[in-house]
Amino acid sequence: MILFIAPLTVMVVLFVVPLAVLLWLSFFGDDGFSIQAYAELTRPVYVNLMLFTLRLAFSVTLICVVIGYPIAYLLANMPGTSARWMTLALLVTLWFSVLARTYSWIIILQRNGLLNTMLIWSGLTDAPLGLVYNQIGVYIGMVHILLPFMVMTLVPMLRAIDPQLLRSALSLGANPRKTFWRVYFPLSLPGVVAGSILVFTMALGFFITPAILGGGRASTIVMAIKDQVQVLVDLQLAAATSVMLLVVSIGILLVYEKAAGVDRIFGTGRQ
Amino acid sequence: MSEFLLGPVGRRLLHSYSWLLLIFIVAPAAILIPISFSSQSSFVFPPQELSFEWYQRLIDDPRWRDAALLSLKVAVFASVLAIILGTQAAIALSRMPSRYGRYVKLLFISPMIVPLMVIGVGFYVVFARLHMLGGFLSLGLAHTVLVLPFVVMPVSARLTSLDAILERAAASLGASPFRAIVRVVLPLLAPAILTGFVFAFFFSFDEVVVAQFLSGATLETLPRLMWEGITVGGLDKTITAVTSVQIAVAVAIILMVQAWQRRPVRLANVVGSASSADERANPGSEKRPGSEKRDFGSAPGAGRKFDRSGGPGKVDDGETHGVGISFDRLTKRYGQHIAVDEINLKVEPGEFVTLLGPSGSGKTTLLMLIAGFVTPDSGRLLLGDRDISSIPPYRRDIGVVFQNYALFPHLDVRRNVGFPLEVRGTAPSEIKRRVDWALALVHMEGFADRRISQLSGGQQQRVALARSVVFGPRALLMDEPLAALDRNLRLDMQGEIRGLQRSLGQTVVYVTHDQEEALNLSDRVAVLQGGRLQQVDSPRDLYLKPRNAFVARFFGEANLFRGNAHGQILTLPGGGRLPLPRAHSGPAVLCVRPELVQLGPPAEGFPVVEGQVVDTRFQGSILRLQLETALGSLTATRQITSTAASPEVGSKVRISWTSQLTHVMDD
Repeated sequence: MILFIAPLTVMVVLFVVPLAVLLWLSFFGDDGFSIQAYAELTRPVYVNLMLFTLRLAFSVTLICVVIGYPIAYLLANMPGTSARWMTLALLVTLWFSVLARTYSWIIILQRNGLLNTMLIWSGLTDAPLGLVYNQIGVYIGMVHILLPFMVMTLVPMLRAIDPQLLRSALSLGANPRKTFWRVYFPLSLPGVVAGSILVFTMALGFFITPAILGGGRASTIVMAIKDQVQVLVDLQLAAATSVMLLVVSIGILLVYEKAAGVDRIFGTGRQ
Repeated sequence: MSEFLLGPVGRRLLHSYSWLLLIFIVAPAAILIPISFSSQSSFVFPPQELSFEWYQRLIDDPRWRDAALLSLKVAVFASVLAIILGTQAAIALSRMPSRYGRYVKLLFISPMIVPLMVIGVGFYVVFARLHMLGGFLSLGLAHTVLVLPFVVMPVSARLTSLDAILERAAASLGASPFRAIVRVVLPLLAPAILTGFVFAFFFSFDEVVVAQFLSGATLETLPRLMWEGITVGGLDKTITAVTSVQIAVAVAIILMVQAWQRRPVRLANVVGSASSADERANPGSEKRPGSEKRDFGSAPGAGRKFDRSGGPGKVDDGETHGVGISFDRLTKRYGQHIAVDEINLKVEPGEFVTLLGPSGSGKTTLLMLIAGFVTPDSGRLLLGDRDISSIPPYRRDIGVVFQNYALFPHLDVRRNVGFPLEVRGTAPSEIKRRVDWALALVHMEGFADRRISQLSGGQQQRVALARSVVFGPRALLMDEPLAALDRNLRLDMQGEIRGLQRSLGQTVVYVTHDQEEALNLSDRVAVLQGGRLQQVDSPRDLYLKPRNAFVARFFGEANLFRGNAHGQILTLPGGGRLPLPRAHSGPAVLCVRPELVQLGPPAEGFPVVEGQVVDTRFQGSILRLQLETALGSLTATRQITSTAASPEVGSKVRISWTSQLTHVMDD
């Protein structure tokens, strides 16, 4: 237990205290206690921002599941050249600067960028498509950043599925398709949920990618917080918005912890 | 494998899909690297001519150079601090009761989940009031908290997959808790800590949201500069050079780690398959018939020469070397459940005592009490004449052989066996001699430089045995050490263990649920059930004179008859009367071993008992008969001889036995 002293102190002083200060600040501004800041948050501007952020996070999560599941299946069950390259690519991507990736997507997606040049050259389109500085760009950028987290969480969970169960399903007369949908997929659901929770909560707080690739057309709630601090200089409002977001993300995490155990996130837990 | 779920077409489709996705994943990196080598300031692909302009700029331009150095410093500071704190936290978490532990763990993971913007505003408010904005320390500490989850998660995951028994093994071999962590836990955690460090470093090196809040005007980190370049400066191409360097470093690290991980694995596979091929070609390689006893004859001299308690030649051959162990009303409870219930037992020096009992009978708890991993609730535990109840395991000098051997996977055979000597500060030359001696004792001389993963089960067993005796322990405890071996190997190892124990004069307490093993090995057997000692006796007395029905049935097979004894007659509830071997009174149980049951005309004075054969089973040297009689269901065994025909199923027989050979006990 002596081991706990240093890390717990650091966590409390540098993590719990700042968040507690935010909570305090959200109620006690310059003129004493008020819930004015929270009242402000019910204005349509903020409600729409929050709804947009939730929708964005949800869609990105869904896309990540759909795109990531087959890849995770491949990595978990079919070792070989493609699996090795895929693992390498995913790892490098995880460590690859988010800023640089965003920058790179601009180069690829902009009006006279790589993709548009190729599309026009191939004759698929006549005029360049608007792929960046709008919501499409945000989706592409966010999926690219969050996909590795989804796959890395899924793979160990898929690996943990006992092949014996599949063999027995096949021997009992279920064809491969049925075996997948009735045995493999249900068994993999905890992994899907774990990955989704991770991706969803991360997507909720995403800043860099929507701020740059959105070109002002994909404002999320965290961008509003930044404006509240730096433009409006309304710390109380910023604190209230932060607390709301904090409650949402911690809430999701607690529900998940109750239901399944947070160990599963990142696939690092016992299997 | 689950590949069955995909046909060839499906598999090909999946592969194509994965290559397509691979392009999507690597596209941003793939596009930046060539651009970083091109001189144009507009983006042309592929680049026209090779140029190092942007790399040069990174070095020459003081703004970029200083920012890069600052980011490097912050990232190193934060990730080093994070691995120190994170490893501590993960180890502490692994020792915490899981009910609170999960919430504390949640706290340590939450910096990854809570949006950076929220944490950033929090830091901003606090540090602004403390006038600490723009300082290196505040940014470094803030980043430490942010990257802590990247260390805590992989390290705790590794800890849960590690066998807790390794730490126990280290303690039983004499390593203090601190030493056990430094020598066993940390080396095994090293890969996880390294992973955590790399993730932490890259995250901190790239972090811009919190940095923007904390850095004020003075502290310009690389990500801040990049952010400015992208949002304001109109795509500064120096970014491509920075990023290319980053990608190169990341790829280099991954390739290094992969090479480092694969090399020993490959080696192990090759050597492992070669040695198992050996075994197949020469099934007797585990077995060295006849050699054991002679080898052991020469070994103890060497052993004693090195023993710390006795100087060279102090102890003569045949003299005992181990110390006695006694329990005095030893009790251990787990909540309502009493695992060990007031056990009194005295193990003589040099004696081989086996604790025998079904699972849950408390035998392993008893062993762990002696080893010191479990503290008794009451009672005394003496080693020699010293009460060791309050002495920690690593100072008890008791060798323990664990069920799954608990060999340290990160050390080779020699370092494993030398471990107890190393932690006791023995001189290297002495360690070498004693390790060689111990390995010779178990016929593993040639395996000193092997990795543990390259050994077969039987070989691992021998190494574990060598490790537990190399430091001259005062007693040796074994927890079902042979359970994982196949039958033939088990019989061999039984012989070796017995020989080793005799030649070293060791006191051994051995736990098993296999009565044959108990018979083969022990001077005395202690039968346990429900945390209570049922009987402690030599195997012979245990078989011939069981104290109660449980012992009679658990140790060998028995036909038991319950009834009321009066003089030499037992009256059964159904009215039948059976002769007793000696006078007895009150409720009693008569035990008739199956081999005593005879078919055919009864001995004189034996009541007429008719029966029918309902089943016969051939079991090698004996024939087992299941009989239905007036006394109830009976089992009889007969030696198989070539002349006697075995009775047919369904045939009527008369049974009897020689009353003097049966045994009567209290009910």
